[in-house]
Amino acid sequence: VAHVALTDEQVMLVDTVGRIVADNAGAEHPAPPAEVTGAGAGPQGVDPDPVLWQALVDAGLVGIHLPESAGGGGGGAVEAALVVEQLARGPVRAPYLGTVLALDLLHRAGADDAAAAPLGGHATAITLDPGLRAPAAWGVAFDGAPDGPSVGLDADGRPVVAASAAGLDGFDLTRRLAAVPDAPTGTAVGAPLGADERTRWEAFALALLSADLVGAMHGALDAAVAHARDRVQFGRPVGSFQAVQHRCADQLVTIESARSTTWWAAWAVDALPPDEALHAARVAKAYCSEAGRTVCEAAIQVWGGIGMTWECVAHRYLRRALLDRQLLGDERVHLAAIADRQLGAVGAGTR
Amino acid sequence: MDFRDDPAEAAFRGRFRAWLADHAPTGPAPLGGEARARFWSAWHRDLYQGGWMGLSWPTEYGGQGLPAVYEAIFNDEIGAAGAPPAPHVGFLGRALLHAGTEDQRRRFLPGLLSGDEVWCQGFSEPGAGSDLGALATRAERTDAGWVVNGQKIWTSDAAWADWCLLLARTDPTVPKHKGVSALIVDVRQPGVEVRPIVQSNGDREFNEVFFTDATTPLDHVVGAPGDGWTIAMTTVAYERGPTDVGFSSRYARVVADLERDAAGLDLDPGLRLDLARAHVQTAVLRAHVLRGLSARTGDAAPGPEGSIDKLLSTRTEQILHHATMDLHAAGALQGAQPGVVAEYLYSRAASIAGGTSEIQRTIVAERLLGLPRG
Repeated sequence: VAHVALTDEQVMLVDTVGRIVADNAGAEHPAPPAEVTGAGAGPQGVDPDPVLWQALVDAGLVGIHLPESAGGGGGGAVEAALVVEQLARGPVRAPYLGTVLALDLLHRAGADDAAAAPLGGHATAITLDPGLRAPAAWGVAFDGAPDGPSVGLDADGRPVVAASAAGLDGFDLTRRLAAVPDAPTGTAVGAPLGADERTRWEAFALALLSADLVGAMHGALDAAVAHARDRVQFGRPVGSFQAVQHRCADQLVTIESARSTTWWAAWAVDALPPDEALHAARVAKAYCSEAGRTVCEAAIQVWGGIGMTWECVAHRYLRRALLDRQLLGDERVHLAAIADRQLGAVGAGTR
Repeated sequence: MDFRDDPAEAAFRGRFRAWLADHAPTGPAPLGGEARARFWSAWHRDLYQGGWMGLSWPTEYGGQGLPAVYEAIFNDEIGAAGAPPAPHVGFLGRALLHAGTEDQRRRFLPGLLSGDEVWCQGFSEPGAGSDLGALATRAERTDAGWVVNGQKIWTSDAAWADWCLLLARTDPTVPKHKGVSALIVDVRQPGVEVRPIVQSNGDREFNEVFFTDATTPLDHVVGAPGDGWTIAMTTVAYERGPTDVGFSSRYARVVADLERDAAGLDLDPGLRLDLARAHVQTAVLRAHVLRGLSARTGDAAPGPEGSIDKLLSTRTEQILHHATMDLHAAGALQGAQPGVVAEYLYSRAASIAGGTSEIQRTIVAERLLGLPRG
């Protein structure tokens, strides 16, 4: 009826990424802002961790989902999703998601040559419109490096490689956002993406964003649960109180179901026709987007006052989850699209 | 990773789907009374005669000896067809297969499977719901057999059952879970009185069962005296996985019906999103139960992860019936949609029956998250 367990190779992959994350833990927390200028850490705070990034490159994880003929690892979207989830669970500052999305876009446009440099180890951002809804020729570079390029799509659906400009004081403390000016500075590469390729790329991107949300949610819950085991009030660990236990249990139900759905969506990217793959990905992104905020906020509540401090990891997960939620459409966007698919478009009412 | 059937599974699914198209009763089961008993009995016998009962049971007891995933496909197709749920023989069969004597298996399993004998499950009591270990029904050992006194409640199908698998206290001198035994008791004897409970939706699925000096032979104890608790807890969880797959396809069908009813209507934008949420939640449940099923290899006993599945299934059913009630609101409140209303009311049982959501959350917190016991 279904064979959904991870293979031995996939389990090893998860272990490998988990080890890289653990080896680099502790180095990634940015200093608090020197003065109150905004809610972020300042643009310098979210530059990638070069040691961690190199470790991911050395392990062959960048481009793991691309065919070996294109210099990739010969895996699929499921493998990429497993890596993304572990990195978000850290959470670590490695521009993996942006780079993988950019590489995938280039590959689908037959522009693997343009991807040669990133596969060699240069982080590459993905260019999105200012609303963070869809790939664009200019707007915002998501998840790259200060000296790295950003890949978007022009009006004809051709990939555009541009240099990103000034970093933004972004809300997320683990991934860099930068401006991509609307002057025509980019270089179009490859062929325009066909409709199917465009749809599959979107499905791939939504599945990976869902995986990122799953990782952030689970990291947030793990940390909060560890705290609840140790923190004593009224002479008992607070995690022994039913109110705390049940809040945590509900989050785990959400996270595990989000993970199952994300696996389904990632599997569908390569296995189902494009429209069905996109539908699965919308389901996952709608569910994980809504869940991400709920779970990460619940985790802060479990921490109590510590959860409001800069040094507590809880807000880093929340920040990451809220950016993931917005990227390529939050739950409202995808629920509306699902409603259109299942019920017919608004205004089509005949009864 | 593959969310689809393998070829053998697909072939089996196709055969069963074709059989269901010809044999599944259409329309809802009658609410209560003799008609309800006849309806369920006929469905059970049809499934048996079709060769679909006991798919994963050993062949020497009338089963098909197939892997457990076939039970999942069986439940999946029943749900997708909107057919009445499969008879709940799995748990009772497990109890006898795991803990029964050879004589008990040969005597009772064939009738259980064929539907010739109807069974009920006597667990809950008025004073022992979530705290099942507090059960007070007593069974005293005499030379002539066990003598049972006490009361059970929420006993499905008891009104037309032949046999009850009863949890009773046989040793009041030991700690509460240790003094419980599992007994097979004839329900059609003068010392057993069954009173149907009228539910909020009008149905009469559940009953109270009163035992007054009811008797059963000494060799009708399943396992050793005092093993009743362990037998009940280990076998009851076995049926979750395949059953959950059936729930997921049944809910998917409800969603599809809902969407068919709603398509083309000028709906409030908020309601459109709620309907989409119901769709999403149902797809999420399906992905999750398929993953859970795959994680259970061979004949291993399911673990506390089943509590996650139950909480998720409950969430889904209740979100879904909010959506159906909201779509049909005005008509339903004026009596135009009795089916929608009955299903909605019944959906509130999801978070109560089979271990309340509160009990499930405590299991998840303490056994999966490792939080300290409260």
